[in-house]
Amino acid sequence: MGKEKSPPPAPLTCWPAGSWGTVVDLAAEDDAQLAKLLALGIIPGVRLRILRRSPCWIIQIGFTRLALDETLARTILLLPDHPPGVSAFDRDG
Amino acid sequence: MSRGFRVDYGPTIEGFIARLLPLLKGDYPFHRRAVALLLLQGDQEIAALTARQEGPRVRQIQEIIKGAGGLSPPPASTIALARHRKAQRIAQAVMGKPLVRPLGGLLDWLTLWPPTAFPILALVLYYGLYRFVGGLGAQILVDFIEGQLFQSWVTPFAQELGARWLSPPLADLVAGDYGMVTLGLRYAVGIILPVVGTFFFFFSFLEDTGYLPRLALLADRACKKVGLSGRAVIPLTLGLGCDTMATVVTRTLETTRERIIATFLLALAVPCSAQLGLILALLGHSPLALGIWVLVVGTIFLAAGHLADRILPGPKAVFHMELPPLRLPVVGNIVMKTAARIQWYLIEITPVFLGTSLLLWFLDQQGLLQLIISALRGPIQSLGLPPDAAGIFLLGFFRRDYGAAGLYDLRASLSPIQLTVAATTLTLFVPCLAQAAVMVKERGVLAAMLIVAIIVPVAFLVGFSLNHLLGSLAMIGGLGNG
Repeated sequence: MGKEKSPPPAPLTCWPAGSWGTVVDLAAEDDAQLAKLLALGIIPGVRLRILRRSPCWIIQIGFTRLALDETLARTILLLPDHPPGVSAFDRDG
Repeated sequence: MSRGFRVDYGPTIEGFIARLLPLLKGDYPFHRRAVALLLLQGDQEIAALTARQEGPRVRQIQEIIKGAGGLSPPPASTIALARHRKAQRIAQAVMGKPLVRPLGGLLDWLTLWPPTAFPILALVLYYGLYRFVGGLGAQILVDFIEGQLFQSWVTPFAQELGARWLSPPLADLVAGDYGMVTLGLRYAVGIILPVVGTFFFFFSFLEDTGYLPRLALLADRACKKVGLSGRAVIPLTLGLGCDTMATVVTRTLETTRERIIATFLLALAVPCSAQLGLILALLGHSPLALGIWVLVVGTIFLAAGHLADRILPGPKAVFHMELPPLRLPVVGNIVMKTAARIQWYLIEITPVFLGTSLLLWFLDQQGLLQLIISALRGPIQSLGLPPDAAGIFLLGFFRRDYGAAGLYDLRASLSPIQLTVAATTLTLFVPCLAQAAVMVKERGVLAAMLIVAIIVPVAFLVGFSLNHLLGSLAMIGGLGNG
């Protein structure tokens, strides 16, 4: 699908710290978990950045930073900007 | 419709809303558009409310919702995204670039990068909990309020009043061994208040600096081992101050499952400050005995948490938390938050202690306390302890520190093994009565009884095994005489 050989979407846990990407889908286990992710602002279509992978997953969405455990981080399907970690525009939309 | 603020959810969702609106004719606490939106997002509560309100139209409504449910992406997601974008536009209109604070950034990084984050965490806990809450709260302030104010002023005054104006049983109710002033109030205000008061101050300080979520995220992995999320670090550390208070705070955990596990662990293997102080006094002179106590209680904590995690049904704990930037705390905020929490403590917990002393007084008047004590003699002897220790264990139920205090009086006549066994069993043994009362209030009678029913045999079994194990080891190594 990618025009410039962008890597296919994969769970957030697959990408290195510093990556920017767009949330493509949420593989939530149930409605309650989906509602939780949405309430946190983790919504398909939103751009985020992975700040840290340990001791916990820390992501930045707009002005908000969120800490997530492995279980929740794995449910976020992320399409990274083409060469992961290079693009640096904090353009949301 | 709404005159001011409105989010446009796009033609598909707006179409569904337009079809739902004419069907919603019932009486709702908020706008019908909001009802329609909640229905489309699959909110169960509002669906039940609509079912009650809309009578014959329910089927049609359900059909529309079902149609929307088949959309991809699901309506909940589309609605959330539309709101997120709207919020973004508003924010962009009024906010500049985020402030860049180099020092804040560095500190921020240091408190998150594991090689520095964990030492910082240890320092925060050492100074905050051990030195500030443990030193200032549990020692200096308790000595002053309980040791000075109560011993020299309040208690003598209550005793004098009771002796002058009341007949003996009522005088006891006010100022006897289990009196509401001499036990209930003294305990709630003289012993627990300084501990939870300093804890609340420390807690509010951490909250105001933005450090608290870091504490939770650093503890998350360890907490998962006992079926809890990082959030549980707050009630668990509070438990080292007062388990009764901590049991109330388990409310902050997300699921009932986590609340039950935390309540259970607090009751079983988290010693409160009163208990901790006396156990340290009791075993402090023998590093070996103290080491055994820490090892056994720690192992039981991990094993019990792990087992509870395996056995209890329901989804595993997940952790998420917003991570605010670190900032300088504002004294006014800290004072206000601390005051609000102390007020809450006084209103919610003081009555529990007063009620506890009322019950104890009643049992004592009826001679029931003695009856229970004699029933306990058998199990106590099986732990290798003198039968006199039965009274201590019973008191330990009513007030954990009373148990340990009684043990302190007996320490001269007990061997190191007996002391270690007794201290370990008392730590694990049933929570104090106030904690049990709060367990019933927070978790319900059934869960509370189940927890107690597990704890009592576990405590005795561990004590029994420890006694035999240490006995055999002593025979080999000569530990027994000392």
